[in-house]
Amino acid sequence: MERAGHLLKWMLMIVIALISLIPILWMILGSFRPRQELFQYVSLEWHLLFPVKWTLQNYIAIFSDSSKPLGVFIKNTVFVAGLVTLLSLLFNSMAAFAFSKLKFRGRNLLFAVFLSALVIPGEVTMVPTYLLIHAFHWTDSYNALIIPAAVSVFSIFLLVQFFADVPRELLEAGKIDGASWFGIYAKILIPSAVPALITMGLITFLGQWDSYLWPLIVINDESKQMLQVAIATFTNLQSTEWGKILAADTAASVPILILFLFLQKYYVQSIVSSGIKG
Amino acid sequence: MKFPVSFSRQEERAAYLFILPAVISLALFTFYPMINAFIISFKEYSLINPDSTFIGLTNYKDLLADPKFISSLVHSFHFALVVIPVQTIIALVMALLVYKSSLVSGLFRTAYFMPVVIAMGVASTLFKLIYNKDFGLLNSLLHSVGLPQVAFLSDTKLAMYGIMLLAMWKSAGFFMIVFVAGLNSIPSDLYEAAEVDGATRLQKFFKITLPLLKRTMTFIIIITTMDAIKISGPVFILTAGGPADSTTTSVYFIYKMAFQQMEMGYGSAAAFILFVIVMFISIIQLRLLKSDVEY
Amino acid sequence: MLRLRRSMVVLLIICLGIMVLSACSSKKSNEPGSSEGAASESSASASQEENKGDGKKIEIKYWRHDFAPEVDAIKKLIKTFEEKNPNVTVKMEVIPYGDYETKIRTALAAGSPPDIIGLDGPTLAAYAHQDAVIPLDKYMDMDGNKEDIAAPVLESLTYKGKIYAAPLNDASIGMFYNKKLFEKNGIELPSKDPQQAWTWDQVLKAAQKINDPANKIYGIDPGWGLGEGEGSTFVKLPFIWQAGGEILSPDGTQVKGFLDSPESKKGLAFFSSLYNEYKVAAKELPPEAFETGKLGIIVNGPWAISGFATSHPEFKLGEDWDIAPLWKDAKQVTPNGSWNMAITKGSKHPDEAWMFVNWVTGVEGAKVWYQETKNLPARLSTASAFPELSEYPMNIFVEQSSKFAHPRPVTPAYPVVTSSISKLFADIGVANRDIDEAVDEAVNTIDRALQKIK
Repeated sequence: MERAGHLLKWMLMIVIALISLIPILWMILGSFRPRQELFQYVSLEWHLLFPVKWTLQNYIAIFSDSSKPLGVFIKNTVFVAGLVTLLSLLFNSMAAFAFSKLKFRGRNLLFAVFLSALVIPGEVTMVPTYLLIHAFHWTDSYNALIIPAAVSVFSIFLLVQFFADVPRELLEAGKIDGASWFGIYAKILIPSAVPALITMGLITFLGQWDSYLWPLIVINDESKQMLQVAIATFTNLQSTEWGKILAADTAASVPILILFLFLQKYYVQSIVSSGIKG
Repeated sequence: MKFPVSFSRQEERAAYLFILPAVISLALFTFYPMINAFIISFKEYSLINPDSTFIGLTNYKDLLADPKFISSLVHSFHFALVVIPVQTIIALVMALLVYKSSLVSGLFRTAYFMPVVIAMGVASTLFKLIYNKDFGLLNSLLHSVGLPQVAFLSDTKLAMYGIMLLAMWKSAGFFMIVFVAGLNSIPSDLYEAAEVDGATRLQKFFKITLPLLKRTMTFIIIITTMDAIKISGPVFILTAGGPADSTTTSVYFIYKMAFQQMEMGYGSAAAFILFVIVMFISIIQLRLLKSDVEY
Repeated sequence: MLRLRRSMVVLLIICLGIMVLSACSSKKSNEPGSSEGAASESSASASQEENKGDGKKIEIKYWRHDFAPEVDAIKKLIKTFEEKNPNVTVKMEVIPYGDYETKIRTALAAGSPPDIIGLDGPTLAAYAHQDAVIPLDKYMDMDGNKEDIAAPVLESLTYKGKIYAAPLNDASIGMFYNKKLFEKNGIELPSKDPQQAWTWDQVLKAAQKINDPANKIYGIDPGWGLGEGEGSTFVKLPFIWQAGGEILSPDGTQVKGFLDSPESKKGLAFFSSLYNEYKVAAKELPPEAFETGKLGIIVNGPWAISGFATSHPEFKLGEDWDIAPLWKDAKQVTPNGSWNMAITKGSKHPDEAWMFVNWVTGVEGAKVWYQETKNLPARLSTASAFPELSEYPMNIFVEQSSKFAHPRPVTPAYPVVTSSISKLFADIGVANRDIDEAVDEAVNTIDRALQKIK
């Protein structure tokens, strides 16, 4: 019984892993296929996933297109996403600290008002926001991408959730030791919530890495454009060159996949651990 | 523990300073545009012409009689009703399988999280190819084990499930991480005590794990609900609302109205009807779960 | 108390510092582009005083959708234009096709559009009606050589008696067929003579012979699948026109009695029968189906000739596939109209903008445009300048567009018309809905939009 249960557990684990990974593997491996063999293999065999003839042609084609310098777009995106992540780590953790650990009048009401921002679809506020950005003369500038994104209700909500696991006694102990509230925030809360902050930071970075419609609308100068907008131009109306699309999609995914693999020991561990236990 | 009065006033002041940047930013870039959109919803407002006229509740009245809007609501709710429970259960199962810290669990956790990292645009393009009736990977695999073809992209009855599958493939890993955090914050001595009392695994799960996950669960259900009813991301590339409007969700309808047909007022009014519905559901959920989400 | 205050002040200063820094750094990143006019762009739109007078360059902004051969052609034309007009620079921005209209319309909403926009023919009435673009008659009369523009094209660019755009090119579609599949199934090849178009019945018979779904080979894709988008409407409308039907009344104000006429419904019924009764059309096709020999017949335009040549060089015109005139029924009808250039009302330099528009779409520019893009010319002088235009395969498109062209309805409600039409075709095609019911729904939606126009 116990062994059968174990076997079942392992099978389930492996099946979920396959479902999670196969589409990604298919994309990466497909990007190394010559166009002719992309949709040739439809039966269960090695070449359903693996190319018969490996080629770098798709990558050469997308990286040598001088009108779409993918390297520049990746650099722009890393810059914007990095800055947004730093700002949002600071502002969102401050707000989450106040909401989760401090007592103040109007807290519940304000939190409810904040949450209501999650309910309205961005497609509707896009035009009014654009008008505002335009009034600030921020169109075609990274201000338009960075400043409105620095605070996110979702991130605040997520951090409030994680901070709840930091016992208030820990903070009150700091208070008795004579630390200021800022001191408690900076010296006690933040160190004890590093995995939570990394998780939120990665989610923020990812959100920026994925952003498409907003940069498309506010950025005009092509040399300043974001990655996903450039990726979208590979799907044009007349022909859809799937090999190139798979290569562009892989190029857009691999840097961030590597970042996540690199940081995986932080975000996939328990969210609040190091500061308290260690 | 009781603090002196001055201390709590000081705490209050500190709290206001801590939330100040967030309040300023949200007021400017979220609530100000929201109020504007709300005003627009009472206007006949063509996207490309700044001159607009107040028409009172006409947009709202027309919408409630617009079969396309109603059917877009039905599609969104269909999505939400399936995805909220199914995705939450899948994420919980994933978390239970891998939450213990060990090298192997860590590897699996990483694997489960990978779809979260793939951009929605990329994932949608990918699934469009994978779903292809004749040459897609999914149907190749189904065929090779003797199962019938599934035409997720061209069968009006199935297309919505194709959208659901993509959405869950992409999001379950994120909620798994949140569950993992919740599971790891349950003190292990509770389980040890239960084992001493001779509790079975199932008893431990229902008596200890689930009740102590309530706060995490509430967070996940609230977030999933808000996201699910607003679903539009996968629709844009995978199906563009088709075939024959069978995957036109409310937000996709709003986008089409506002940008393709340039009826900004009509689209905004639709968004606020949706807003009221989601708010209402969230409040009910919070009441039912009776959990203090944030504390 | 004191400690709290001091630390909070420090914190706030840090916050503000980061805000300002991020603002500065992004400002700075604007700067290096200034030699190409990037920095002057934001200031030009911000303050009007700085142009003219002090010998400063005037910058014209031009936005269009992305399509490599056309973008390259424009780049060449910009270069020659700037050599000829050293005081004007043209800054083109290329936008992904799928979201082109969203971007243009948001900029128009903010009153900050570029000087020149790419304008798809049927959206012209909506833009003109909303005062987003200006009439070009004054310029056309001055040096636009409008008598040289093909009459049906000029007509499609006219709204309430005024011309609102200059045409880059015209468009038409033909029947593209896989020669090998025809020969293999013993089907007589269709004539290349534009006067000898196949009838619906001939097309259906050929599709039936080719269709072999068990081996993943399909007979016909009659209209670019069943998706959304203007391209999809463009290639489907001929079914209604060929049967003798119409979408709207000739003045564009009525839909009842036109889209729901027996003729229109006959066209829709034939389209539906390809999918549901005869099942020669697949509701979902393999990727690149025609180019890889999995599909017998498609419709497409002249742009696809060079498109196939670059994407699938092994799939050769004349050997593997050929082009025949678009099929006919009660009438022989083909669609027309394509992308144009228009000047926005928000432009501060309409005269200079026209100079560039005329440089690209004028008599000489149109020839360069044809050479680079091989799009169907909108000007008679271009058509006569290239002998290849009177030879196969281009002669088919040229002759169709002068003899059988039918413009899409001209109405500010066109965005509603096109989305209702693609929904209608999807309803009767993929969802196999009752035609009368689906037509009624489309008629009501379009009617509501027509009523709204003031």
